Amino acid sequence: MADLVLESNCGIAQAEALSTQLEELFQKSAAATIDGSAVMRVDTAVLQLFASFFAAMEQTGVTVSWKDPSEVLCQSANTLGLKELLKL
Amino acid sequence: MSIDLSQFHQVFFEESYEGLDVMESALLNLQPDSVDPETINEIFRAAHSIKGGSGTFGFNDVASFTHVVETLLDEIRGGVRNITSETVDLFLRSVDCIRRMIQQHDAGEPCDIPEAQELKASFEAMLAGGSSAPAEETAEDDKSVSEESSTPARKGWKIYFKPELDVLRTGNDPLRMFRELESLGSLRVTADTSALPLISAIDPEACYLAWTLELDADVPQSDVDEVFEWVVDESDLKITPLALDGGSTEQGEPSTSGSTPTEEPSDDTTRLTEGLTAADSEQQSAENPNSQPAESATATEQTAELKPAEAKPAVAKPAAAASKTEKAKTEVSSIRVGIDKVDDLINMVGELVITQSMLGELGLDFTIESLPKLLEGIEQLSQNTRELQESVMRIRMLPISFTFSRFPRLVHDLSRTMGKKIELKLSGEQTELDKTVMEKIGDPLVHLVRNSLDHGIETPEDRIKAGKPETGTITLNAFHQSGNIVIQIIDDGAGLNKARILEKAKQNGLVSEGDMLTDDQINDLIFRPGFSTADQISDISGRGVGMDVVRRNINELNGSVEVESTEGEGSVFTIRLPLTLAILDGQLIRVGNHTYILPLISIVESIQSFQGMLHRVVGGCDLLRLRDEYVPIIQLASIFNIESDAKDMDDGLLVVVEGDNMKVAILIDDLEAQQQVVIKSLEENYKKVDGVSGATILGDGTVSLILDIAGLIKLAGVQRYEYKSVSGGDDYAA
Repeated sequence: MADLVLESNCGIAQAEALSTQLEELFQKSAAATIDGSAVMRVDTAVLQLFASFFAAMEQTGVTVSWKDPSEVLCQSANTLGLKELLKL
Repeated sequence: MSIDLSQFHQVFFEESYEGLDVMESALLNLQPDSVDPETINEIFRAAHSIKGGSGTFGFNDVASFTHVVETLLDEIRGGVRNITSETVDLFLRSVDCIRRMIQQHDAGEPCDIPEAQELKASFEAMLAGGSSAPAEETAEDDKSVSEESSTPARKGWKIYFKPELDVLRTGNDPLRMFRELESLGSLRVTADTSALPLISAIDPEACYLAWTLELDADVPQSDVDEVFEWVVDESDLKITPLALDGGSTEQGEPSTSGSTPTEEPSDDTTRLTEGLTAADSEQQSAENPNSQPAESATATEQTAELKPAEAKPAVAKPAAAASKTEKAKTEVSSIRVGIDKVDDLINMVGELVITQSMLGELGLDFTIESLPKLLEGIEQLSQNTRELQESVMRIRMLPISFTFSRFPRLVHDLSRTMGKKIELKLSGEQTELDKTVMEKIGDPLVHLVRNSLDHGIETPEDRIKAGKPETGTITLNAFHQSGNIVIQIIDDGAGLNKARILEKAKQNGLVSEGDMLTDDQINDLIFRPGFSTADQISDISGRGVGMDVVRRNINELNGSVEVESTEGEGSVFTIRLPLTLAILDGQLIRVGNHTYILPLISIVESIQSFQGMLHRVVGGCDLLRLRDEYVPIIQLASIFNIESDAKDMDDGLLVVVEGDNMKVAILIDDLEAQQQVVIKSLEENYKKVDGVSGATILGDGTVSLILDIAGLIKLAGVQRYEYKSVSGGDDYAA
């Protein structure tokens, strides 16, 4: 079971709630898994959140991994130049 | 779900027309010697909005054309380029061109303006560093030059993009923009995350990222600009051509969005080939509205989950097609109204509802004791209705500046063509007038201003000889007077040459040799149809050309036009118009059992006892000798073939009215009340009736006809000048 399961729609409207969830994960300082298999739509706001989250986790030396990231998620991260940082 | 963008087309067209007016007006105010930066900004903003809107709605030809205009403006406001009178002229021509393009789209017609290509090429040539004298170059030459200039030597662009923090909140998603770029060619993206806060400090809706993008694509810069066109003002954006070695260019400074690369390709053949390829690409882009970015947040959400190729709005083309068919069905005219006017209206309706509720309650349990309260309620209802009517009428009122705004350009262009120096002064631009009247007065006004410009104001040389300043002045003045609007066209030109007008009128048989006309009567001759068909402007001042049409058009609006002139000093044309064509201040008159309405504005006086003033004329109209003039008498009963109460003319009452610039006396049985009447068109509801301009419904439910004085004069067969040449004797008979 992943620590965070993303919904199909990950747009800016969901960013506030997602931000809270990611911050909670960050506060735990434990390795985390994100299930991105259902993501059908994602935008810059959400990918930027993940970028911040992944950077913060990396700084603290905690591992974050993806579980079945969807094609949309991977392509979008690539298009925004965040593929490496997000490990997608 | 897709949005039918065609529903917003009309708003776009109207806003574009307004934007073009702003551009034109600001351009005319530009002084190349001392350019006001805010004026340039104003023009730029208007062009930018038109470009953005036309791109969004799929009018790619307009977007593409406006883009080059905007780019040049951007260079001027950035201080890269100076503005000259040549540039101003080019911008003015481009405003005309954009206006025509939008008009064609507005009419649902295919947009085909050959001048657009030529002008666009001229702009592109200027942007490429060429001269600002496009007239000498052919369109083909310009095109090749422009295409060369808009194509990078190495096929691609390097883009630095750092949006402002709020960019995501405004619905502009960089992800979607980059997908657009991906659809143009191969894209390499490097994100700069250095400004990104920690997850605990981040604002989830702010944008902290910046990007460097390298686009390998053989596309003109305009295609790249289009992707960023909605965020160009809210971001740090630099677009530079990729260098020949595949890396980013090191030559020169990166250009900001909209600027054109300045580097020169080394090989002419390559340049030409690339230019043509770029042109093809651009054309494809223009033909394919799908290449336009969708800009609304909603559109972003709808398309974000799709692949780049699918993520483009597919609604533009069907929308354009739908627009054409819808256009054919209904011609919608709209009006922009200040919110204060709408608020007034809502308040009035609120008052009306309260009164209606009060009367309703009164009616439920009505006793005779409640009568005073009922009367009070009816009085209140009457007051509410009057105020509501006034509020509704205010909605249709627009400042006459809407009409006046076309004249600076007209004067600018015509004075140049004719080699005259003319200053145009506008006053009373905020005077309000009904939209319908305003639309119809435009053409007559243009005619009068052209005449003042053409025949009134002298050449600089002639003015200096006459001891006048070499710059002539034309003043357009509008003001309200006695419930009407008065518009004056005043010039300080040569004035009317009365002797020559009279001579010409005699030659044409409009005036007899023995006629003694007053100055006003001589001036009035220029409105006679005979003058416009004669030698035109060769002998007389030329004021007569088409003036009969001007007067006819103004008369059709229930208005009048007259001229005062002093030789050597100038002329004043005065137009009087009703404020609205929907409501009329009327005088009810009775003839037998029929009630007619005379426009109050046309009534000069009424005469009850006129014994000794009547002159019977065999074979013509009877005349009333009114002080120093003879006024033809029109008998309504005889014209409309109805029974009159008056058995003899002396039993009736004469109302002296003015119409078609002459006085007539109308014989009636009685004068009744004066009231405002709502005009109903007879032509729309029945058919055109001579001598009648419309109808209304009176308080008792009967239909009453509104008399058309000019039409009555025509029906009665009264000739204008046969009776005006009073010279002491009784030689008035025709």
